[in-house]
Amino acid sequence: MMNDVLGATLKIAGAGLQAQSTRLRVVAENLANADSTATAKGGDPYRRKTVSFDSVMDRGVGAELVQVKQIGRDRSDFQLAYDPSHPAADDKGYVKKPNVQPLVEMMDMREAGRAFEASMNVIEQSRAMMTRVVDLLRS
Amino acid sequence: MDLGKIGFFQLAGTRLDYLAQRQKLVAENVVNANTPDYQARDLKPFDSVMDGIRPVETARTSGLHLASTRSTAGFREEGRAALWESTPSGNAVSLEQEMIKGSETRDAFALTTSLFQRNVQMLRMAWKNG
Repeated sequence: MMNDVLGATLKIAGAGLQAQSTRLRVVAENLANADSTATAKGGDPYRRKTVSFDSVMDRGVGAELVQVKQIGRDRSDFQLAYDPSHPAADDKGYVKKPNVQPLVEMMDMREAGRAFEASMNVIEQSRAMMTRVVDLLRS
Repeated sequence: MDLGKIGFFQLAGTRLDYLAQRQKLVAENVVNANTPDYQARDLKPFDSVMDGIRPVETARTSGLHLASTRSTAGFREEGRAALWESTPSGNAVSLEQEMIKGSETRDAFALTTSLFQRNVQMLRMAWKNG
């Protein structure tokens, strides 16, 4: 019964790792598209993606697992840059740039990395505990 | 022979179960460290179990025997630290706090399993020499 609980711990931490790597993937998408403008005249550029988490009760594991609730879009305004020669420039010569802020993305990345490491730590701790139980057989 | 009928093994088993459950809660807290409106959870201290158990005292059959210097009052754990922080999104999980709780739990687990092993060794010694 105790090993079941420790096994559940690994599943919970696994869900956490998965959620955080999804978040890292979205950060990577945002950073990669930080300069993706439209190709048509006056068109909208890349819109920043956001991730939100939610905890759901998993009956099988009997614990609240984390999952990605949705990958949404940041509805904040685009930045404007004056560049009349650009193919996406509007009549006045302004180009819309994506609303991605590298600083915000980097902070998000750090936080995700930290949460990822914390989950890894929990896995290591639980594994150490499981090993102790198995070691009882050896004495 | 049923080890579960010996007070110590029963207590050790309960303690291991308690620690495993606590580790599970730590895992839940850690993975939900970025979930809005999630509050960190913890088990009640183990002394609710310990309260029912009096420490063993040596019998003094002669006036020359020294009395135990240890108090016979029940062991108590210190109160748990309250939540350390809460973010604007309503999340109240501190990863640092959870890491500390996790290693506490792991160490207590190691201690309990070591005691378990040691007691089995003592029983075995008694059987051999008996």
